[in-house]
Amino acid sequence: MLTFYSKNGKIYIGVDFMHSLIIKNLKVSINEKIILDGFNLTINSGETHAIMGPNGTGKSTLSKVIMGDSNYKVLDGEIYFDDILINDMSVDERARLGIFLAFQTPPSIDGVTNADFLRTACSIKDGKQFNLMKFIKEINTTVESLNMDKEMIHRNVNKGFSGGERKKNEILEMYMLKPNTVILDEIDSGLDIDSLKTVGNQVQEYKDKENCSILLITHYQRLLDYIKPDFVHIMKNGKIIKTGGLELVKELELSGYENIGK
Amino acid sequence: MNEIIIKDNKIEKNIDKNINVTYNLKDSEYDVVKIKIDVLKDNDLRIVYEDIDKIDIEINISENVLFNLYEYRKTDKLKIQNKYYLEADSNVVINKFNDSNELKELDITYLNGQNATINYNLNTISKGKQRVDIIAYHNSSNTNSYINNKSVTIDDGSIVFNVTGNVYNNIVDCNVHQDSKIINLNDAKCEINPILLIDENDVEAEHAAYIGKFKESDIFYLMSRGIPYDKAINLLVRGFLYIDIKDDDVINNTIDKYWR
Repeated sequence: MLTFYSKNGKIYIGVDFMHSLIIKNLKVSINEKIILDGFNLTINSGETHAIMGPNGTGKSTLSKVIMGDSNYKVLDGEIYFDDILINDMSVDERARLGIFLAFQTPPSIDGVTNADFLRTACSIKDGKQFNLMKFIKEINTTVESLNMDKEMIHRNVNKGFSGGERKKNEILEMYMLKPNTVILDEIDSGLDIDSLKTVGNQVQEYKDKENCSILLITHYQRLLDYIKPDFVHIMKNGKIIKTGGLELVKELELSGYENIGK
Repeated sequence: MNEIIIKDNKIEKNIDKNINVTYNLKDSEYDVVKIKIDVLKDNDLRIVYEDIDKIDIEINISENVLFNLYEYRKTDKLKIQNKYYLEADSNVVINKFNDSNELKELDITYLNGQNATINYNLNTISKGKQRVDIIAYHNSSNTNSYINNKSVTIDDGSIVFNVTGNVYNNIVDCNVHQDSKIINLNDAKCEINPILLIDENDVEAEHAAYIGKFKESDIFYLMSRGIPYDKAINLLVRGFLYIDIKDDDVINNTIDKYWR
């Protein structure tokens, strides 16, 4: 069904598919150590959820487990995408459902150029609908809007990229693959102030345009100046201990993680 | 592009006057095809080997000549010996892509003149038993050897790289570099033996070796963008084995043949 919706003074037209990611009572371990224990969360299309918490509490683990990283063992619980249980789905199958993880530390891959990589990913996603000319035009436009060097398209994936360039490359991939569910794992780390603004604004613009859902993992409030969360969750010891709005971030700034939830 | 095609004990050549080629074909199945190539001026040459089993090649590069050699081999069993003689101020780049099943190769470089440089790159798909011995003799000062080897093992394939750099006493200011990598997709027993025989202090020498799989984190990353496992491996193999042999279709088609 075609829908018309207005966000930030702009009118968007799109096909409205509502999606949901539901995590129920998730218990996960790695090397016999329990990282997530009784984690619950539901994210619907159009919602932005921010997860904050001290180091080692399982935030990045959560993002990798949703994506299907086989290094982690799911001991209990379920992950549903649009009512489909995805616990046993492979990483690529989850990605093709529309789940996208922007990595905290994107790897550099020798010999594989950004162009080849993205063309392969987009052609698999689009199948027979894939149009090379459209792809080239779109990648050039997106690179420009992210203030990236055009040469980066032809360089090996993240090879020799600075921390900020790697994060921008993640956002470039997001724009090209058009996911409906975006997980941003500390996308703000390694970004200078200008890059943070560019990346933050681009993510928010993408969300407004595509009406996707966002799960945002961060340590710092500053990213939330650009990507506005509908819900803020505080995570500790592998589970969410408190949920609120932006006011929770201010409370966190005043009292720290130690006193939250007491 | 100058080109020599060696196929079924026949030689086709399309070369300009600045490259002299002489050869002896096999008289019996026990015999060896022998080719001598003299490169007199700056030039590029592509050599294609198809359905040939034994061959000896000698290439002489004259003083102050820049020479690029591109090789593609597609045979069942290949036993090949190459000797490269480099005179002063010559600069040679060799790019080889091997799709032979079994391979036994001995490549010897003689850096005879000052400032001679060889940049040697061999990429091979190891489907059968393969052994490659590469030796560089730094016979003059200020000479440079950069030896880079890559293999991906599949099926019943295995490979041994023996790489030796020789620098004698009083031969100064040389660079000796070796880098060999094997992506061992079939858990075969493979070896890399870097050997540096250096009798002179005033030398820069290094070697690096890697035998292992593609990084799990790289595969996870590619798959996280919707690329299935087999296609992710295809991309990684293509990136790892790509080498400029002035015919990208050959490499792409070969890799697609084994990693669909």
